[in-house]
Amino acid sequence: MRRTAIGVLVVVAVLAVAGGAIAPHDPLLQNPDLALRGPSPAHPFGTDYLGRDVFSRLVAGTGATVLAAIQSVGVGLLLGVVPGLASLWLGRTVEWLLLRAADALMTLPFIVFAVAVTGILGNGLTQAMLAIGALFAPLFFRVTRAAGLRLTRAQYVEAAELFGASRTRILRTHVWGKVLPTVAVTAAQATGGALLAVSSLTFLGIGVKPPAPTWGGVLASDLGFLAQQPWAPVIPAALIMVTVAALNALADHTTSKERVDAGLAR
Amino acid sequence: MTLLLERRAARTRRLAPTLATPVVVFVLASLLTFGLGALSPSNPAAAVLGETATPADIARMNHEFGLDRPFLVRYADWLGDALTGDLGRSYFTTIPVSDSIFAALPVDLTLAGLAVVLAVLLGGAAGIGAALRPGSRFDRVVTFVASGLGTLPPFVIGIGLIVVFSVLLGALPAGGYVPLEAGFVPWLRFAILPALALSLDIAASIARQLRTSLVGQLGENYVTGAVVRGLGPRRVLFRHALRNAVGPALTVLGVGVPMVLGGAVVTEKIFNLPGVARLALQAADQHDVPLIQGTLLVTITVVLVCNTLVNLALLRLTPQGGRQ
Amino acid sequence: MPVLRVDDLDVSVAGRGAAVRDVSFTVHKGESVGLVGESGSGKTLTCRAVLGVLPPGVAVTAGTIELDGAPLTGLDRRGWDRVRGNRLAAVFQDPASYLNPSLTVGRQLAEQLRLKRGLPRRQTRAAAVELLAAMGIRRAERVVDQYPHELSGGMLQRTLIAIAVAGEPDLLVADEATTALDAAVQAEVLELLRRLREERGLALLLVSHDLAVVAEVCDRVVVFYAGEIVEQGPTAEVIANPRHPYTEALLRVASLGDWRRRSLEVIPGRPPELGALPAGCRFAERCAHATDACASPVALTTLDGDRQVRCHRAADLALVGAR
Repeated sequence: MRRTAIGVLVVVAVLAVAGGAIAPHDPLLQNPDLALRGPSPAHPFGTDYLGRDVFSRLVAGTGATVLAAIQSVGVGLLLGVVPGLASLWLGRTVEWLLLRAADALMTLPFIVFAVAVTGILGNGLTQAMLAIGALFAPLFFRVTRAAGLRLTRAQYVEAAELFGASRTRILRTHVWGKVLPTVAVTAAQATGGALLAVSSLTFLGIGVKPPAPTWGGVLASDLGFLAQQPWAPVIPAALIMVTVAALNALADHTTSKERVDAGLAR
Repeated sequence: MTLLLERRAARTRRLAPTLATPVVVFVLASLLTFGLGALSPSNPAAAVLGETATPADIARMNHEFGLDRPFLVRYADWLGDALTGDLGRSYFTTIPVSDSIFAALPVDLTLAGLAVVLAVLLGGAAGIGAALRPGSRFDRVVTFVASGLGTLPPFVIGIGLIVVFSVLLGALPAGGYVPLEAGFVPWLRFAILPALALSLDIAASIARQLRTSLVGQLGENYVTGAVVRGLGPRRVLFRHALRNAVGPALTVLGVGVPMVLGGAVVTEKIFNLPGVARLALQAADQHDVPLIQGTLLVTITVVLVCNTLVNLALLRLTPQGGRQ
Repeated sequence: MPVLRVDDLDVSVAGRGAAVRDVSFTVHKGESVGLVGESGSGKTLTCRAVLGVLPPGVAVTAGTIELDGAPLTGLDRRGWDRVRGNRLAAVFQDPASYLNPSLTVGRQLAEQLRLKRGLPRRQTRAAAVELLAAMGIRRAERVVDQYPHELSGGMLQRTLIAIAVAGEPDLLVADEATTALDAAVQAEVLELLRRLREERGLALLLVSHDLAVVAEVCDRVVVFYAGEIVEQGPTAEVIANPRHPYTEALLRVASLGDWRRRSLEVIPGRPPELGALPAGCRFAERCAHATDACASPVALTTLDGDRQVRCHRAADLALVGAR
């Protein structure tokens, strides 16, 4: 299970990096004579309504899709972990405000918020990922806080405080080393969610505008032609699902392994 | 009788945070909504006056719009107006934003309502059925389907439903909308597929949560106690075990409301529905800041109202404050 | 006719054999019978079989259980639901866990009064208060609106008893009903059970690991060891003059009679595991009086009239009763 998951992710990573170089056709090349064809040796996933090669569009679209997901998780990490740690040490008022801010962000529906942000700040990948990232922040905020809280109550941190270790030192040596693994697992899980959000947004034409290829974009162009090609959405959908499932499986595996390790250590 | 008074007082004490938190959250979220508008690179004065405007014209217009006042003052003004139902006018059509939104909102509310009903019915039935016979074939199917649905993006479910029910079976329309006033059955024909697309994900979560907690509750002594008292299986399940098992599933429902509304954007696009989300997409396309802010604020309000309702329900179900 | 008649009952754990074997006893109207033994002796499984709530994988595999002459074994759920709460009721150890935590005790009592005694809804509250008061609960009109987690163990057990007798049953099964309570409360609850018996003609089947509790309330005692009855008879006779070495040992560890003067004793050794039951006397391994003869199977034999014992040496042993 874990091997399969890693295998899937490696393939996706290669596609993301190599992208357009591997694609057999130009993902933007239109060929009206070949519109809406089924799979053939030249076009293994068929062609879309403009006669573009679907396989090439998916391969070339991997980069933007994956990059966007990683970016948004990165933004979420930054906006979540730092306030998460800050909330533990900067006193009650800051803590209360940050907690309510996290509540506020959590009530925002991902896509509505991303639509609003890109509508106001401009329709670009950076704006969209900022929006998605901001909504991931409460997740990282909570996880960081929870892990940190457990630690500040742990005896060795108390002992370090008694011995006069400075706060930054405690933060660096003790807390960081323990909080990091939890955050890493959460990040893996969040990447799966981010990939779904990115796909939804590109499906709507937000973040990456057509005709630039993305996974969601391929799905969107299939939508108008379901009567002619009802099977067409299966391919991009399967690509998205398999990648998300691989990320989830990896995160689950790491979580359960961590639990086993913790159990053995005790 | 004093006990009832005490209990009422205790309930009020517990009620306070349930009702106060959403207010605070609303203030923060509305601040964010307004702040976004302030960050907008497109200047309404410039937009209204067009390309030929001089900086002096723009400054005069800014003053007229009140845009030269401090941020918090403008926010307070905006929020005050918003609370009285005035969300400003569209930059482009000059139609009041609230009019546009309230014309579109019934589409989403009826759809989301149907989605929640479907999620509760499907998730509830699957979860209860699985919990009554843990390890059975039904249980395994529910677990498998529920975890599979979790990895499906909502738009994939929507497209799949269209392919099956519209394209292949030809039983239901692939898109479009008829308002509820035109009759329940015509409305349902158009609403059922989008609502199903919105609900399946939450139904799966409800089924999983309900199964886990109900299996736990059914193993509790008080269930044996109720059986020994000679209460029938249905009464034991619905009046006793379910009452204590439903909490996590209700929480899922509370968390699920933003997801429904978020998914609604995509679902509206797939099924070509004239809802708030389509309004938001249009507004985003045109950088129509008041309309964007309006849709966001209304969405946030709906989410908060739903969350508060779920929390109130949870409060009613669990009499003992500290237990959960 | 006895209220409860258990005949040659076997209760088996799937794949592991009989955990209760050849158990027969009767409870007559208004009579109080105690089942005693260590944990795992089969007394609780026996009473769960009587109530029809055996754990999953455990089932009655032989014998019959009759309530008022009608068989309970083989009843379907509907049949059980007509018997339980109406003619048969039970209270357990840890009463808090046997009440629904999110309903007031009044609502749970009212439910019972409505469904099992057929009271109309608007009368149930008053009847619930009255019944709680009859169980010796002070300020019953307050307690009726309280949740289980707001009540003490003794109050909860009284509430549970109230719910049990709400349907005016003929037989009340009390499974370690006083075990978790402190001594004073335990005495009060036992007193309540005794009173219910006298006032309502309620037959009692009391399950306890403590012979002292049984001695306090029961007319007859049935001693379980490793899934079998090893001795039964009138409580006073069994206590004064035990005929099975295990009963003697139980008497020694029970807080009976002049127990303050004795050192705290335990019975050495452990009962045999279900998978490794000896062919002969199951107590032989721990018995101070065991001989080679004890390796052969031993039947439950009837002694002078009303007593039964399962011991090869019952005739020649002089055992010590409670002083």
